Amino acid sequence: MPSVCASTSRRPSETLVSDGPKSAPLEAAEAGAADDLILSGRLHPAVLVLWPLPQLVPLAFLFAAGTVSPRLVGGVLLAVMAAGVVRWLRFRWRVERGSLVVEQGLIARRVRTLPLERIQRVDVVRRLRHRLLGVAELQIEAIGGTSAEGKLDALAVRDAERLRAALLGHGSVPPSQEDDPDELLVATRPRLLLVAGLTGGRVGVVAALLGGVDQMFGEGWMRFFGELPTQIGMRGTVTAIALLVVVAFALSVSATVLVSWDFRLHRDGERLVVRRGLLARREETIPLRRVQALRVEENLVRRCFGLAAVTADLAGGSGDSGGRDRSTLLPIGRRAEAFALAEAVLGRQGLATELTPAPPAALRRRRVRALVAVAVATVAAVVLAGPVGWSALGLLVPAEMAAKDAYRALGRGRSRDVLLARDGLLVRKTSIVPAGHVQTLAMTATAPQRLAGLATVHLQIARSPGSGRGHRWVDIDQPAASTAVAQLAQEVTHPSPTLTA
Amino acid sequence: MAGALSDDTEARPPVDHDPVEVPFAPLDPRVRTAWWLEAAAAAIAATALAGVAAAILDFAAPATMVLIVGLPAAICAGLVPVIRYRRWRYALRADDLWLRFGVLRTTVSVIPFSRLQFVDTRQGPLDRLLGVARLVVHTAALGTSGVLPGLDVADAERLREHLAAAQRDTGV
Repeated sequence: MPSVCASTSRRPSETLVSDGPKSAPLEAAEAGAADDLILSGRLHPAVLVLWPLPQLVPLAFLFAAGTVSPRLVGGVLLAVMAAGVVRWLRFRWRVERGSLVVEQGLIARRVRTLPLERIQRVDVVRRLRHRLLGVAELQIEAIGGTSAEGKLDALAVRDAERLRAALLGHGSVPPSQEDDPDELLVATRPRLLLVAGLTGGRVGVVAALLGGVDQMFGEGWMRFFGELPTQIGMRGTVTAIALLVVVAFALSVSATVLVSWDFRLHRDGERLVVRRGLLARREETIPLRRVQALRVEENLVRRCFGLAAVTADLAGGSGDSGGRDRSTLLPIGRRAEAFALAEAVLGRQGLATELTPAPPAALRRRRVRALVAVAVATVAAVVLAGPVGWSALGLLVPAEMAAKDAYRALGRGRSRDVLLARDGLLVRKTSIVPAGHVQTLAMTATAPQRLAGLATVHLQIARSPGSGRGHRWVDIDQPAASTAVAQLAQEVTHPSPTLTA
Repeated sequence: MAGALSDDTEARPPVDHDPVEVPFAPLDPRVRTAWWLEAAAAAIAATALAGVAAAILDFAAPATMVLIVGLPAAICAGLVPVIRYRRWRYALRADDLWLRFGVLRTTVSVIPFSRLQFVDTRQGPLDRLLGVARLVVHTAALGTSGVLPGLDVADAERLREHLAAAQRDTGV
């Protein structure tokens, strides 16, 4: 369907989500809106046609196919139209005291107040159906959110344009044009990329796939392997397995090399520029203000070699970069390099500090969990395989090791105004979150956590949906958690100038 | 400012590890009624389903099934709303909104006004019947940041306006 989409974006990428200087734009908005703009009203009556459209199309099909009687069609039509009229009557919007207020709903009533200065983007959309009816749809998007914050399904075109101007007509921030010379932050060496491929997560994916095959084919798979030596000989079997492993590693290495070949990260004023790729050279621009938090990731293998990768969590990206919300800033590098990069990107020093370990109760929790898992496995094995199953108790050794390792991974800390959180069993992740980027705080405690006097603190930052797990201090002392939450709440509202300086 | 809603709510002593003097207040008791009704409906539905399933699939006597499912369901429906209501506290401070809730997993949530994106009030049919409303606050953080159920309608509306205004004042 052809669509005309006139989009005015108030530089979504440059709009700081959490803090930063902002002009007081409301007077301007109200003054600008004061001339002859209607500052409240209903939708254009054309919605009475627009709303039922999705229902009418299938209905028309059914009618054409002759499967429903005209009387039924008439009844449904009437009902749908009546619902539309009621909805239209109950739908009101207004701009009032610096906010857009949208009221709707007959039985379930909903009133939404959207402060104008939080509006990041207003699109006037005119699809074919809108053009036929001479109306426009207004889509309103707030900072960092999804696209569903506000939608006015139909307005007269003139009104839509004016309302858009009124909603956006305040303090558009001019782009900062500082001509900083490009600063090269990262340039990966080919040799290290090979290491990245060999130690990367994709090897794990292949292992998981093999596990999946095992799950699906069960004994058949094992029998296949059992019979393999008789068919192709012991040497053949070993070769086959070795081949499989080599293929897995080769795939991993080539994928990594293709994606991250000659990975370069530049800093260009207020932006980060990533250039990478072997066959298809890609360039990505990340406004620094969109970087909300960083994560240093070390998987089990890489930890042994002192290697790490760095990714960035980005805020609200439905605009320029196609909604991506995570970006790799360093595919692989020495641990020290990873933290140095984090310091450079965030403009802070001393991020590679020692972290406070979790209390011993956290270790006990992990041991209990490991014990329960082994107990369950042992019981299952004994039931299924008889006395041989008791050998599953041997799992206690790796379980204890895993519990200890998971415990050692836990840590929290802060370096001036930057919060650090670490956890993860196989992939150890260190979250680096500037306190100023914290949006909301939460402290949760499950029943077992409460028994152990522990709690988890969630540092919630501005993110788009689907960017994985949040940043958390897992299993810290409950009093410490409470104090931290209260203190951070204070800091979020009143950032201390001595700390942010 | 913290007293915006304090006509019918008074500050309670802080509960276990409340770090600072947060003036926590309980929800409007009418929301407990709403929860009871919802839980009762769910319990009845589950019990009926179990009975019908037992009758059709013939794996147990329907009466037994109804007893097995219905009794615990009824107990849960009776108790959970009470516990939930007793756990629920909220506090409106000068610069932030605190929510404390949860039966099995407890949560203390802090929403600084400077982070508010927009604020909704919502009323389902049951809420309208009982005269309560839900306040839903959104920040740039993922998903819905906070839901405050069970406020008097007028309070909820006032709170929504208040938060919108507070957001503008503190919003840098």
